Amino acid sequence: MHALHQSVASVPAKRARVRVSLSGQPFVSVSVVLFIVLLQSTNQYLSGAEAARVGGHLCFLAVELPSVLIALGLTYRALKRQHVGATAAVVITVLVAGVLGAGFGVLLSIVSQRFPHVMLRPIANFTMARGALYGFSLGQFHMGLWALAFAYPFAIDESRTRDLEAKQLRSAAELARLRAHLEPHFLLNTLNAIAGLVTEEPREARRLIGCLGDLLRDALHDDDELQTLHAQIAWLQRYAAILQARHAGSLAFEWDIAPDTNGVLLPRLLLQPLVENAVKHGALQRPGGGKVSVRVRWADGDKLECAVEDDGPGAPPGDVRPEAFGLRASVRRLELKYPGASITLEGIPSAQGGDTSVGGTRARVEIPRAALEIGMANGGAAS
Amino acid sequence: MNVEGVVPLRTLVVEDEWPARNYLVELLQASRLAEVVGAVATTEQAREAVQAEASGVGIDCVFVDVQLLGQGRNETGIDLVRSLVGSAGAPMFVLATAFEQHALEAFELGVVDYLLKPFTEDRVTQTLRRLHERRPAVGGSTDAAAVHRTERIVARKKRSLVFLELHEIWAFETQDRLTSVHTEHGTFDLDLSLAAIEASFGRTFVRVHRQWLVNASHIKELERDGDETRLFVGPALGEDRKGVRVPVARERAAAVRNTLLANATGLRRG
Repeated sequence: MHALHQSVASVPAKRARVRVSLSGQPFVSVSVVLFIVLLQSTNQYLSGAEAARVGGHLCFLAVELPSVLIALGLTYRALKRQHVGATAAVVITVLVAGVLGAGFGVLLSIVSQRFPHVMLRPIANFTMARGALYGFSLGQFHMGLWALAFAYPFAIDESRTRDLEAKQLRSAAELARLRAHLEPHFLLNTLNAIAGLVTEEPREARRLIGCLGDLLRDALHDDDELQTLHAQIAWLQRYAAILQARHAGSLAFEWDIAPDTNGVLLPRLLLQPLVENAVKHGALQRPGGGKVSVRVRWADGDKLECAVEDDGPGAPPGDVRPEAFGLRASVRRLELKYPGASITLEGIPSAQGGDTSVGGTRARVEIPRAALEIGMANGGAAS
Repeated sequence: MNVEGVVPLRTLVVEDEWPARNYLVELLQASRLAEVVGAVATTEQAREAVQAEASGVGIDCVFVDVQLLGQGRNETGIDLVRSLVGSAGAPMFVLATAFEQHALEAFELGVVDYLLKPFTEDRVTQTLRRLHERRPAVGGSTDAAAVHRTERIVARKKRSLVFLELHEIWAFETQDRLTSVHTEHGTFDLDLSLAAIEASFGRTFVRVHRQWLVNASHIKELERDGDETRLFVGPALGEDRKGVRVPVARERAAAVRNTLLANATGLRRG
């Protein structure tokens, strides 16, 4: 469980680092845009345009260029937040740059007509209509520059970051899944047991290899997937077979699964942590060995009850918080999926007439039938 | 059993998982660098064995599983080491573990080495070699004495331990992974498979059946009843004799017969 929290927590840290590396980007982009725009103006001057035209042009640029760049930046952010499609985004960007450019063009032509003595005519015959056309075309030109200098590098960086994050998340999730259900100690100890059985009990060794293979394959599936109770119990029985072989003589299992619960769909391996707890902290703590029983039935007709009992030293009397037994993740999974569902842990009162004070612990999962039917409808294809 | 010039380390195995326990005993024994004097499943029994042996025959080293699920007590292998390592004449401790980290923590406690899971022949041999190198510094001049120490095996009656000398044992029997040892003092439980015991005392004992390992020197009678062959194993012939009747597997009957006859006529081959 610790491993899960660590690996998930490390992802936001990586994202922060990528953002920091982008922080030099605006300066480079602004420099590129200014450089190209100035080159273009210089070109205009060199090709013999009058001073009035070049002056008017620069004047227009000084107001229009920053406005268009800022407006496009804001538009880009808004488009991204609204998850607008690529075609719509291009059309909107073109319109914003065109309208803004045309607006400034008209404005400049009005100003130049009001103050004819100031040289503010970038083109001849600077009417309002021609001003609009002039502004529109420059707006488009600047939009192109903006896309090249700002949007393009950002898009590349972002897609790279996203790929990286997705990859990290995927492997972190897979690892966490594997660790949550088949912790490395379990794997290594099982391999050790198989190595021990190879010479004297080869058939048993092969059987355990088969069980372990099945467990590994299943543990790699997505946790959000649903699984029939039948499949879940089959998994648990393989898990139990391995533990039983390893603790030969001191561990027994009992299964009591009501046949009419077989088709119920449950989150994958929901009961595994309960069984693991019952074995480790229950049955194996009983001197001379103990037993774990798994019961599943419809209780009171309206809820599914899965109980995992052991005959170990028992939990302290009264209610026990499942969180205290490392079942936090199980509780959370259940709460998210099924309103009204619960996991409880309780000490079992010692058997009447029994020769020991050992009572054992019972872990019980209860899910209302109404909540389950939603699961069945949603997960119909999952099985 | 010795490798030339090497006195095997007298070893106790503490491991709660049945296959792992037998596997380790087989590997230790096969290395010829160690002989297993006992294999127990709980920290309680381990403590008892170490303390009893400290005053008697002596245990050179103890292989402890780090993850022992102490039946009844919440005690790990590390707890066991911690409680024993300081005492006078304490053996060397080796930690059997799935991860090195555990072993690194344990070095501070005085564990001398560790053995990674899954066990292999090479790993066991290397560990034992290192233990042999350390032995003179730890054990002083015990080597000479060690040669004359008698071979004993640790068994248990309910929850107390008994130390049996090999000549007191008539036979080992196994049923559903529960091994018992028949002796003139009674029948005791043993936490080992016949294969592991056979690996330890193969020369003294004969495997006559999948479920029986018999002390050759105590076989007193060979009965044949049609297809069935049976042995009587005990200290003496006679009317009110003590001992056990042991079935001989059909496919092993001829071999067992030949061995007994060969020994009887003094034709034992070295």
